[in-house]
Amino acid sequence: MFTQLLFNSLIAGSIYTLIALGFSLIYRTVRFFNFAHGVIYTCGAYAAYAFINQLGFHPAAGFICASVCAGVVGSAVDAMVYKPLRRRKAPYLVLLIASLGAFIFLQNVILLIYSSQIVSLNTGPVKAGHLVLGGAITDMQIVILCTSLLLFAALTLFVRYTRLGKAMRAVSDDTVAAGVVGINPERIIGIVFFAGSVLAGAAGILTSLETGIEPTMGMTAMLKGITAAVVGGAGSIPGAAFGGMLLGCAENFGIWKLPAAWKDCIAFVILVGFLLVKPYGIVGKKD
Amino acid sequence: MEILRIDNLTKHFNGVTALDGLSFSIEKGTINALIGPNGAGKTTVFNIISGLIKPDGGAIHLNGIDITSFAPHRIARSGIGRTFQIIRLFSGMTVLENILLALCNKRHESLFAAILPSRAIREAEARTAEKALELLELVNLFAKKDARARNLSHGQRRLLEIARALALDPSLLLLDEPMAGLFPETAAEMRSIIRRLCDCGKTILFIEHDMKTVMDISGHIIVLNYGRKIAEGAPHRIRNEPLVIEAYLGGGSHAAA
Amino acid sequence: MEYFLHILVITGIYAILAASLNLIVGYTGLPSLGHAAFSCIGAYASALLSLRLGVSPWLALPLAAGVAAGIGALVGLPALRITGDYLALTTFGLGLIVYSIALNWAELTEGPMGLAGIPAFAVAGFQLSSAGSYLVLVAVMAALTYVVLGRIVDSPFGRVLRAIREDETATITMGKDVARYKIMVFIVGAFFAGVAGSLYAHYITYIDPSSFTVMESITILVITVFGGLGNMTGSFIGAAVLIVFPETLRFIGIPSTVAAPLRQMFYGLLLILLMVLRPQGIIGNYHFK
Ligand SMILES: Nc1ncnc2c1ncn2[C@@H]1O[C@H](COP(=O)(O)OP(=O)(O)O)[C@@H](O)[C@H]1O
Ligand SMILES: [Mg+2]
Repeated sequence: MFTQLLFNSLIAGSIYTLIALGFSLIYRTVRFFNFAHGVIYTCGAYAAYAFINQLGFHPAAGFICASVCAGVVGSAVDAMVYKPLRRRKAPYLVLLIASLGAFIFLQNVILLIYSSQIVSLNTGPVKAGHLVLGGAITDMQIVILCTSLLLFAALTLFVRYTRLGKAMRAVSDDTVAAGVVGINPERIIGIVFFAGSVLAGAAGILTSLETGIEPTMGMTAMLKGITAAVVGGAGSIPGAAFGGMLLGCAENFGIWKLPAAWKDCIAFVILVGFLLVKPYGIVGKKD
Repeated sequence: MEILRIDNLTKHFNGVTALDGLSFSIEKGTINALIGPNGAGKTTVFNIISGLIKPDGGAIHLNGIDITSFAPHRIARSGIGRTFQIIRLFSGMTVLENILLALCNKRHESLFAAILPSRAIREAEARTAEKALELLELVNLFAKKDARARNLSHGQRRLLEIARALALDPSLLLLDEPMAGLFPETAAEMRSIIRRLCDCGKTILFIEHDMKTVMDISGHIIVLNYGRKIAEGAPHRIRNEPLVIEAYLGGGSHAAA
Repeated sequence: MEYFLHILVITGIYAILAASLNLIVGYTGLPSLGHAAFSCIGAYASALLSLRLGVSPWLALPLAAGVAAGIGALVGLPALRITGDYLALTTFGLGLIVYSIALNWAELTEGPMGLAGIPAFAVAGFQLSSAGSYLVLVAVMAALTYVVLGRIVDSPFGRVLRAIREDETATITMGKDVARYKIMVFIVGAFFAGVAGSLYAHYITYIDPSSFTVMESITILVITVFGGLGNMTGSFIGAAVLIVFPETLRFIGIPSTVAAPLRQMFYGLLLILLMVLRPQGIIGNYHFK
């Protein structure tokens, strides 16, 4: 039982980590809570559905194309909504509310196109899980775990060691100074939105390897991503992983004792609890 | 008689020691200056007296009452008014509203009075408005009473901020760099207002960089450097204090020491 | 005709919601993204009081609003510690918690099944169940809300609220107990949202959690922002425009499966456009800091 719950926690946690990672990457660069992140997750899942089920792509190719699609949508939202606001030096709260608007808008575009019917990805027949240490884990779940780990590692290395990654850090630390030393902040912000959105899209696709796809899936996913990010300290990359795993464990071990219906509520309570007690997260600091 | 006493005040900000065992006291009805180089901790002293920041150690007594743990709004009601180094007005409200807000007491501002205002309350408000206009006369802003605070000139904003602090009818007035950025005429007006307030029995503690003003109007000066008091006394004593001269002129060598 | 009156009833309820949110967001400057939670509590409390305990709707309404106000006081507590976008996020989360409770505490709320058969208001044996007769009640309540909230914001109390919105620190140094005012604002805002929830419950006579989702909170926010932050009349105009306008979709023959998403798309787009072009709303005088 314990092993099973641990597996479930890890799998859920890795998805939350991916969402939180993109969210945090964006937050630390532009300093606002991008609610539209949740709908990018949904976009990823539906794009995968379009590529794999409707166009007959190989699942791996579909995964890559759909992630890129999500990235493009995220960048488009940035260019059309946030960029004009940034130019006007709009307060963070205005950006936050605009992102809420973008969320609602895009979610309903998807609803109009695909209706509220739940669909699922065509990734071959469901196979029984392997038994490891008394817990079952399916091939799909192994794929989910490995892909998230890969993406997490890639992002961490990218931000830490590449020139572009360093430029990102410079922009997030001080946009004006970055501009002075010749980094174009707008270009970097564009890249950050693309990369963050790719991660959200990938998380959406990975989720739909296991569960159905529906237009409203982005709302709870976003909240869990935000929760993970806030718990770890919004803006921190290791914090996102820590928060994601913590949330995954809290939910899965929580429903050991609580009725399963309360699973989502656990995340909301953790979110509000952290905002009240430690709003800048475990590793975050007040700026 | 002593109105304010500060004992052994200490404050750290993430490792930076802003105040380090600061003690001084202030006599009722006097004009006192708090001076020192930038970053010496002067504004921090004001923030702690007015309760906006809690000290790590030490105590503050107002008229013999320990107010260290009072909430800031309670400190304001106990008779300490203040202004800010960077002016903080309600800039979207009118000049008159800024003053009215400070004049009104808890009873007028209750929710019940808002929904069902009694005649007594309405009459009290009319009286409040008269008092507000008097205060505006004092700082020559009567003509501007219906202008939005954000549309005033810098000097007028400083004056309004003082008038607003006065509306609390404080016994002790803390002014953080009241002359900063003022034209000479307005600065002269400010000096005369401060003197007049003292004549009316108010006690004043102000932060100022302009030495001429400090020497001119204050009876007592406290000099701060690196969060410590390095000198205290009457202007003629401070003028000749070697430590003060060093802190002001030899800032570099002091920092290196 | 009956349908048009129905839309007017709904408009009146949203006007109360938007005006009460305006007190919190527009006048005091506290971002709140979970206002539907208060109408949810009002609706459920009122429905349960009348269904389970047989309380008359006339009594259930003020009691339910009182319950909502009590919860409002609790929700106001975070506003003492947290500000700005973190407060926005907190109220958003609190809205979700209330929704989850309505959905999952089945012993009390019947969960997703909802509560049916909620008694209607009655005057001397005459049931206010038609849209026409209910409109009279809603109009009276909306007018009352307008007067009471209008008085609050124009009073010295309201002046303190605007001062908090402008500069919280300066307000404190003026001797105002800002924490108390913030809690009061949430109490009053939640009270009127509770009234709106109760009015809704006894009108539709059936409630379930889906009427109180995040989308509801956002709809209320769109109306408030559109009408104008810091302008009570604006909230009423906003409700009239934004509730009535999407209904025209139905008249030009668009099926409801399409009309519903279109309407929400419209709200989302409007929220974006307002933020980009006119963050203070059509006749507001304040925008988010
Ligand atoms: N809120 C604060 N957070 C962190 N450091 C602060 C804060 N307020 C003041 N300081 C630090 O404390 C020291 C004293 O500042 P301050 O009292 O403003 O000096 P002064 O008014 O004498 O110029 C400075 O080093 C300043 O950076
Ligand atoms: Mg200073």
